[in-house]
Amino acid sequence: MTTLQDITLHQGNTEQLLLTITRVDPTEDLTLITGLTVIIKDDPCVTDTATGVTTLTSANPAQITITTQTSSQITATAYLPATLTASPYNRWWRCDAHVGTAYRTAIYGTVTVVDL
Amino acid sequence: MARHFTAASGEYVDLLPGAVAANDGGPLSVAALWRATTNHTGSIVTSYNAGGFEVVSLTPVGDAHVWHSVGGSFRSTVAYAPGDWRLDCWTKGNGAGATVRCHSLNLTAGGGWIHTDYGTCGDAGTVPAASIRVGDKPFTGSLNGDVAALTMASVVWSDAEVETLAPGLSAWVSLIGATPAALWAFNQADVTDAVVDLTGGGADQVGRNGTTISSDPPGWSYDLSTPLSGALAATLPALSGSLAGDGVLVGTAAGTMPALSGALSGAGQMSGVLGGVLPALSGALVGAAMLPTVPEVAGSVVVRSLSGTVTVH
Repeated sequence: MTTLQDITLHQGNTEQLLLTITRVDPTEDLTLITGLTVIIKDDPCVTDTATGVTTLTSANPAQITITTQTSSQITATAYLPATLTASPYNRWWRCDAHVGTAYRTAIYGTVTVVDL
Repeated sequence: MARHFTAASGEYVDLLPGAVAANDGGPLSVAALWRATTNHTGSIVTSYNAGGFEVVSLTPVGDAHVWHSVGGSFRSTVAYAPGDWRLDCWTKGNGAGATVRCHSLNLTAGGGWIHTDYGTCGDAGTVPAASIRVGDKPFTGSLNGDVAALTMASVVWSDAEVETLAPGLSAWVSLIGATPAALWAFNQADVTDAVVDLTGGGADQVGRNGTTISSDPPGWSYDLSTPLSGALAATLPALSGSLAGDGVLVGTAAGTMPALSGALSGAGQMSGVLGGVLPALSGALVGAAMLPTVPEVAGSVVVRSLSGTVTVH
C-alpha cells in the first residue's frame, strides 16, 4: 500500500531525498521498474502538467539517480532544486514507480517548508 | 465401358505384339477380363507369327471351356458360363513340360479365386510374333462376347500375385511393373478410338472390324490413379509447381528443406523443438501491445540534511 510520509524542507536549501522503494507483494519483481519520478505541487487537486508543478525524473540522473535496483527494493536520490524551497509555503509531493507510461505511487505526503 | 464382339460379324481388333513379340509361350502370363454371350467357338486372344502360325491362343469353345494353346498344342482348361464376367489368367513356365495353370475369378457369380493346373506344355517354335488379334480366329470362329482388359506378360505370376488383379487396371499396371508385357484396356468411349498398349511397349491397335461399346464389368475400375500400396523403389524426380489440398505426411523426411520464401498466412501451430537460429526480425509489429503491470509499491523517504550543535561561549 502506498506510504504516506510528510517531509520537512528548509527554505532556500538545496535538498536531497533518499528514496527507498519496496514491493508490497513479495512475488512481484521491481526490476521491471523502468524509472522513478518525484512530483511536487502546490495544490493536490491540479493535474501533473499544471503550471507550477515540479517534476523530477530518473531519466535525468541530475534530477533522480537510482542507486540500486533489485527485485525487492530500489534506492534512489532525488535532488530538489533550491528554487523549489524559495518560498516558505506548504506543498504536496509524491514519488511514482514507472513501467513505461504506467506508474504507481510509492510514497506521498505533505511538504512543509520551514521559514527561516 | 467394355468392347463387345459379335461373332456373326467376325469382329476383331488387331494389335502389334510390342514387347511380347519374342515370347514363345513361356514364361508367360495371359490375363483376360471377359464375358461370353453364348457357348461358342471363337477367340479371346491369339498371337501369330509373320507366316500366320499361332504362337499363343486362348479360345472359348462350344464345350463351355476355354482352350489354351501354345504352338498348336491345345488343352481344355477352365469352364465358362454365358453372361458371367470372368477374370481368367493362364500361366506357363519356360520350356518343355512346363505346367499350364489357370487362375479364375467369376465376378458375376462370386465364389473366390480358383487355381488349377491343366497339364504341361512346351514352348512354341513359331516366334517372333508379328500380330495379335482379339475376337476373331480364322478357320476357328469369332468371339461372341465382351472384353474389358487383356494382358500378356513375359513372367509366371504366382497364385497370390494373380489375385491382386481383381480390383482394377491400376493393379495390373502395378503387377506388370517393368516386365516385358502388353496391356490393353477396352474402355474406349467410341470404337473409332484406338486401343493402345498401356505399357508403352508399342502393342497398339493397327486394325479393327466392327465391335460395339458394352457395359463395365461389375466392381472393376479402369482408374489408373488408384493409390498404390507398398514400397516405391527408385527415386522420385524433384517436385515442381505447388501442392494443393489437404494431405498428411507420414514418416520422416530426410534431407534439408530449402529456405522458405514468401509469407506464411493463417493460424498454425508448431510443436517440437526448433533447431538452429532464427534470423533477426525485420518489419513492424502491428496491433496493440500489452504492457507489463506495475508492481504495487510502497517506500520511505529520508530528507538528507545537515545537522550539528552550537555552544554559546
